[in-house]
Amino acid sequence: MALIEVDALSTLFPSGEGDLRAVDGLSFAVQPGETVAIVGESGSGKSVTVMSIMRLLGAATRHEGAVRFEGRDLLALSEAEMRKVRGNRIGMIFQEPMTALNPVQTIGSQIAESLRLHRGLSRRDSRARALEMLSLVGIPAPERRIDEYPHQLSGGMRQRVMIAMALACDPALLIADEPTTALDVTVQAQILDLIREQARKLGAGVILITHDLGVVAELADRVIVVYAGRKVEEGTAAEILDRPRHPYTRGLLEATPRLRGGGGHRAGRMTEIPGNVPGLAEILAGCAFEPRCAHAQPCCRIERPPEVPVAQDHLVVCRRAEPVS
Amino acid sequence: MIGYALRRTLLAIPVMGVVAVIVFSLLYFAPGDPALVIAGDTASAEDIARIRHSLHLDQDPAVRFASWVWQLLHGDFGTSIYSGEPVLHLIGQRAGATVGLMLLATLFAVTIGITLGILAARRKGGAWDRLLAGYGTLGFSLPPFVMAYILAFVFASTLHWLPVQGFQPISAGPGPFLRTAILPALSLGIVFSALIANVTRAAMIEAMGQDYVRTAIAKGVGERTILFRHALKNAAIPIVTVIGSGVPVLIGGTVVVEGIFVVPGIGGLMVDAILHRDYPVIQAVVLLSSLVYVLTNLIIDLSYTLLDPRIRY
Repeated sequence: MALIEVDALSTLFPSGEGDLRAVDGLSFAVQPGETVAIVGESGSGKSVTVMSIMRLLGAATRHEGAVRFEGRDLLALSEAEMRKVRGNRIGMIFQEPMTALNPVQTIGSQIAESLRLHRGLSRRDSRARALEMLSLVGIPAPERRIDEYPHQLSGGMRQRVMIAMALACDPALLIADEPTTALDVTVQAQILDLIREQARKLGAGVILITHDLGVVAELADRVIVVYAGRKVEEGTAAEILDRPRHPYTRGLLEATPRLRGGGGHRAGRMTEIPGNVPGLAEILAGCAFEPRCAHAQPCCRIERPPEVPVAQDHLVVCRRAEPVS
Repeated sequence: MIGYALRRTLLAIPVMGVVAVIVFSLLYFAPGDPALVIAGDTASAEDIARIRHSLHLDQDPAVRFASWVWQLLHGDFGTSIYSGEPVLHLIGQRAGATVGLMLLATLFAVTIGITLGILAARRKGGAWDRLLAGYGTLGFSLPPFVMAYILAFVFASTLHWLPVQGFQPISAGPGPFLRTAILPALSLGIVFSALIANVTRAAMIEAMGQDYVRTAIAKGVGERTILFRHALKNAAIPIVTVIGSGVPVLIGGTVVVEGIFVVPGIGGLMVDAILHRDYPVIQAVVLLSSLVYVLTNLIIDLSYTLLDPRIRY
């Protein structure tokens, strides 16, 4: 059974010009121990998707669909029940380790907080466990670091602290929202290794939000490509990276800088995808990518494209894709 | 930290020096000759000259300033021209009432201000937020003396819950003190509390929008803990700063409010001293008020390092 099943999730922000649909009927599942990457450019709704799963968006936000996790629909839980899920069954790592940690609390007390909250640990026991978590995530001299404040740590160290916080209660699901975007390139690989290693140890599922296909290649088992809040392609990481079928996914891959021209893509100049992501207020009857698509046909504009299985574990949401025979 | 505290304390000395010069020159720049006022209408020229001499008004200002400062440094604030008593003794008699009143007003203002500010920040545009907007407008637009008369009219004259006059010092026991000090302290504290509430609201709204609050929510932390443990400590610096900057407002307000509620405090002493051109008393009160203000600011500056670990001197 899937660890988490996102079923036709839509996230709507009310506004003067009607509801803005940031996520539009997105469905996917994560199996226990599996790492699923959600990939898309800025504004594609990938962050909003995980914020919706955690219900971190303001009270005004409306949701449609369901998020089934451990037998319950998270969208239907009361706020008190949801609090018992957050930080306990689902851990979350944010993009900006510089600002995501509280500047006036020691890192030890920030890690210990969820342990006291969810595990009912005493001050002493939670501190001991926080110390354990700090050495687990590779913080040197944790006995000294535990009483330090975030500003005394480097960006990479802070992200390690974030990971320690997210994993403190042994969550079944780890959500990492652009975990390496704000870090130095040299530190990125270490943090990715750490996430992979710890998730494997816990047997936790991981939802990884990224726009960096290098990160996807490094970490993901499966990839979901989103565009304008909709899924456009889904498949194993190998399938998506080596045999992308959707014009948008191809564009993304071609727009990725490479040092060596491996993987069958041309090594020369980077290309870009012309045009911009449509605004949230635009009503798109057909394919959301149609205005930017080089292969678009008149029918693409009128009707939503179907989900077409193009290989085992690979489906494309595109009218122009040829199904497996 | 200790080094910074020392340096800050040393810096207060030139500040107090400047204050001393200004306070001293009051005697020369303020209208009205003290000797004429003291001598009265019927005095002869010799009488006035004698009084001028006894006040050292006939000496060179620089010499007088030096000897005045020298005396101050020895704790000698001079003698009241009007009553003939030592100034420090007069101030000592009356300081208790004023300090008690100001502390009670500060307690009111801080409690009401921070509570209201947090409640308003919890939901922008909510019922508490609108209440604060009204309270703030009222608090800012009503000067303390109007507030004092309204409170006296409602709670003393109409409801007869509290007395208007007959101030009791803390030494008379907390009960009598509170009964007689509540109305003057409220009159002083309401403007101050509106100031604190507005700053608290803004600082809390800013803190609640920060990434670390989202992190705390994602950890499963409840709203109360987020407000008090995560946001309030981050919002503390502007709140503490406004509390410190309110002290001169209180000092100014107490002069008026003491008059209305007949509190035998420094405010009354000051008013009398001004009316009688009793310069030694005026100078001492202004100097001591400035000292309180300088010390408050010093304490606030030092408290920043306790409130925010990123600030190190």
